Amino acid sequence: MNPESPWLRGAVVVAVIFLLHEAVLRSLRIDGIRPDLLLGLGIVAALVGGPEAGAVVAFVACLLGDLFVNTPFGLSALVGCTVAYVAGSVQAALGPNQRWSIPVLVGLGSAAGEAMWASLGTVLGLQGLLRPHLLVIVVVVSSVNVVAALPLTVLARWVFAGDADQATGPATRGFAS
Amino acid sequence: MAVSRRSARPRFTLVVLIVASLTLITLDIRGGGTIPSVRGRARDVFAPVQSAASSATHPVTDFFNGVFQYQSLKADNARLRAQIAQLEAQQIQDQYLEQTNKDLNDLLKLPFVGDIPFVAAPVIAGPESNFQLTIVIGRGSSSGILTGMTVVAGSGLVGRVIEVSDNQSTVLLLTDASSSVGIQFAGAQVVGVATGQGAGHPLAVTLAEPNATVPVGTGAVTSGLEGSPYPRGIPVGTVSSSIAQVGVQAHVVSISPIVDLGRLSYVDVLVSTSQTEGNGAGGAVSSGGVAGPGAGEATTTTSVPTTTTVPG
Repeated sequence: MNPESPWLRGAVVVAVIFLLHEAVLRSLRIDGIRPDLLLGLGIVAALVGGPEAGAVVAFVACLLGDLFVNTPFGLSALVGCTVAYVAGSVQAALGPNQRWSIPVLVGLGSAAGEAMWASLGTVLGLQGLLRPHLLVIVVVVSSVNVVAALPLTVLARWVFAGDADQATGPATRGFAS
Repeated sequence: MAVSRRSARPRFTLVVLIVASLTLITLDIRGGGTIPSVRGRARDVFAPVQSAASSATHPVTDFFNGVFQYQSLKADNARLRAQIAQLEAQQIQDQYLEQTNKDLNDLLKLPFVGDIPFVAAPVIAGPESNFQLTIVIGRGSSSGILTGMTVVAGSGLVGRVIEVSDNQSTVLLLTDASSSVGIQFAGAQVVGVATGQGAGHPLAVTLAEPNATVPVGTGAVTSGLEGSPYPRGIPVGTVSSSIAQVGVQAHVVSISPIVDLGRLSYVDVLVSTSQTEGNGAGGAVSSGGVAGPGAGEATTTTSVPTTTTVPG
């Protein structure tokens, strides 16, 4: 397989972030809240590589995360791919040269993702999700993902480096340049 | 034409991904062994990696956790010092009460909760999700643990096992919003159901007799009534508030868990497939009683436990 293939590079990045998320961040909590880098990665991938690629990355990353929780399998993947696709579409509409767009869209996307997860979880019968504590979860997850957006953007650009011409909405000279 | 094809393709991909997600969710909710089995295997395969990474990064995560929780640790320290002084005095009284309780149970030929065999397990991780209060313990089906078993720590109830793989199990904490436990108040014939209210919140109690009065400080133990997944007589907590509602003869009762669910290192899983095995532990458990298991067979553990910070 071509070592510059975005699929191969994408798999490597997803594996690294997944390892970081499950092995390291599982014990690092802020006010009892666990950061959600997998969702952040999916959104950043959508902002850099376009909504389609981002949705696929988010789906795979969040599905891996779903293996290690006891909530409905596939729920995080559903939320991740939808949020990433919407974020990527907004980025494509804004154009590639908005320096502020990546951190803002990562923050908003993460917040929307957590709220969407809690809402869909409630629809599926999970209890106690739509409570004031959800606000704390939204704030912590969004803030951490905004901070992580820069390194995630660097990784996402490396993934899509050979694919920039085909990407639907690449932010190739935005946030991290 | 080319433009419309390009814009349609991402939507097609999204639709495929959404349909795939919904299919997986449906399969999981409808039950069956495939998805739990895949999850269990993934956890077992990934457990050594998690353990190694956790050991390697422990100083870093400890540092950050210390930074983020400095104020709460200070407050905890002061509170625990006060508690130690209080408990030292209470311990003497408890030893006498425990012996009396055991003697009475022996006379009545009733099994004591402490007689149920248990498996000691290290707590290896806190909640995996921000939306469910669980802990992961380093013992699984290979140690005889089954879904539904009761989990206790030294002085009282922690929760119950909801998922098991070969070498790990997931325990739903009693503070989770989906967790309910039948309780009985010490010194009173009042029973009720305590429901979790989330991390850091006391359990909300629905009394069987709404106009019953339960004083603050009263101890509550598991009632073990028919259908309850928990054996009878395990301390759950003490009444932290009991407020009479205006206009109706009813009290809003809350109880604080007796176990500090936020700092668990080891827990004991009661290896009892039937709730009735633990029934009849004797109701003579006083406030802050000592009905937790302590006399069963202890299992030597090889994993290195970490005091896991759980938003319990």
